[in-house]
Amino acid sequence: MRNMIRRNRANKIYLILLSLASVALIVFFIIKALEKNIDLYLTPTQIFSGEYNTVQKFKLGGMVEKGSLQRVEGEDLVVTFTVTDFQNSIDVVYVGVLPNLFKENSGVVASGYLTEGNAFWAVEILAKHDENYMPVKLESYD
Amino acid sequence: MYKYVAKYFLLERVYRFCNFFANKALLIGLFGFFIMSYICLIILPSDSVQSEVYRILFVHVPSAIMSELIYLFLAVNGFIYLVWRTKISAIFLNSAISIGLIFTALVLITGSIWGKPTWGTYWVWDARITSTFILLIQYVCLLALKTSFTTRQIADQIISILSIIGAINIPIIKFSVNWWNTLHQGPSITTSGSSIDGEMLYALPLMLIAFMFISLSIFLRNIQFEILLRAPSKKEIWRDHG
Repeated sequence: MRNMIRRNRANKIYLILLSLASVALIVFFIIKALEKNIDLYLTPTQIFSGEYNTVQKFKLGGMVEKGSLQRVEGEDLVVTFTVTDFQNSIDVVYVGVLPNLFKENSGVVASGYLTEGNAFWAVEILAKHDENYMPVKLESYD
Repeated sequence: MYKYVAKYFLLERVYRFCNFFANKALLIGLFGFFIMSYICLIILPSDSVQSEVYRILFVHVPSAIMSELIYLFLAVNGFIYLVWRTKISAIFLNSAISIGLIFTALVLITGSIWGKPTWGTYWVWDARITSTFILLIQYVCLLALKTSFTTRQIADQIISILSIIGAINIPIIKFSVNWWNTLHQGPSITTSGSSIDGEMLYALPLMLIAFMFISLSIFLRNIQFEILLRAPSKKEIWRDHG
C-alpha cells in the first residue's frame, strides 16, 4: 500500500515535470518563430543585411555616434545624427522635440522610414538609458 | 519527513501563528518603508544621468523582484499541492495571488511613470514590458479562477496547474533584456557585480526587505481568511476570533 502511494507520487512528479518541459518546448518554438517580431528595434547591421522588412515603418536602434549630433541653423527643431552599432551606421533626420536623456554616446530607439539614400527619417525618438547609476559628484572627478 | 513537518502546519497552529505575527510584520514593514522612503528621496545623492527621476528605482525594482518571487512561490506550492495534496500549500497558494498581483501592477505603473521622463514614452511593446504584462494577466487569471469553481478542491487543482505552467514566464522576464533588443536597459546587478554605485545600492535590499515584511503581513491575514473559509466547523477558531 505504502509503496503504491509512493510510486503514485513519483509518477505524478514525472507527469508534472514532463508537462512543464513540453509546455516550455512549445513556448520556445513559438518564441523562436516570432523572433524577428519580438525585437523592439533593428540595428544598422540588421537593416543592411536585407533579411528584414525595411519598406514599411520600423524602429531603428543603436548608439548616437559621438560628435554626430547637429542642429540645422535657423530651424530649432531639425536635428541630424548618426546611429551606430559599432559595425555599421545610419544617418538619421528628425524634426521634433527630443527626450531629456537623448545625447551623444547614449542609446536611442527611433521609429520611422528608410529613405532611398539609406538615411533614416525618424518620426518618433525614444532615449535608451544604460544600467549604470552613479552620484553626480563622483562623475565630476572623471 | 512528512510526519515531522506536518505537525507544524496544523491549521489551528498556523492560524494562531498568523494572528500573532500579522500586525507585527506590518509595523516592521511600514516602519522600514517610511525610513527607507526618507533615505531614498532625500539622503541619497541624485544620479548623474537621470538626476532625481531615478529614485523611483527603489520602488520599481523591489516590486519587480517581489512579483517574480511570489510567482515562483505559487508554482512551488502548486507543485507540492498536486503531488502531496497538502492542504496548507493550497492555502499558501490562494493567499499569495493577490499580493503578487499588487506588485506586478505596481511594477508596471512605476515603470510607466519612470518611462515618460527618461525614454520619452509611457509604454512600448518591448520584450521586458510585454512579458511583465503577461505576468499581470496570469495573476488576474489565477485570481479569477480561484473563485470560479463551486468545489474548492477543483479550483485548487486548476490554479496549481496554471501556476506551475505559468512559471515558464519568469525566466523569460528575467532574460528578456539579454535575449532581445529592448528599450529597457540590461540588468544592473549581475554575478560579476553591480553597476549601481555603492552609495545608492545599499538602499535597494533594505527596501526589498521592507516590502517583504509588508507583503508578509498581508499574506498572513490572507492565510487566516483562507483557513476560516476551509474550516468553518473548527469551533475553537471561531470562539477565539469570532
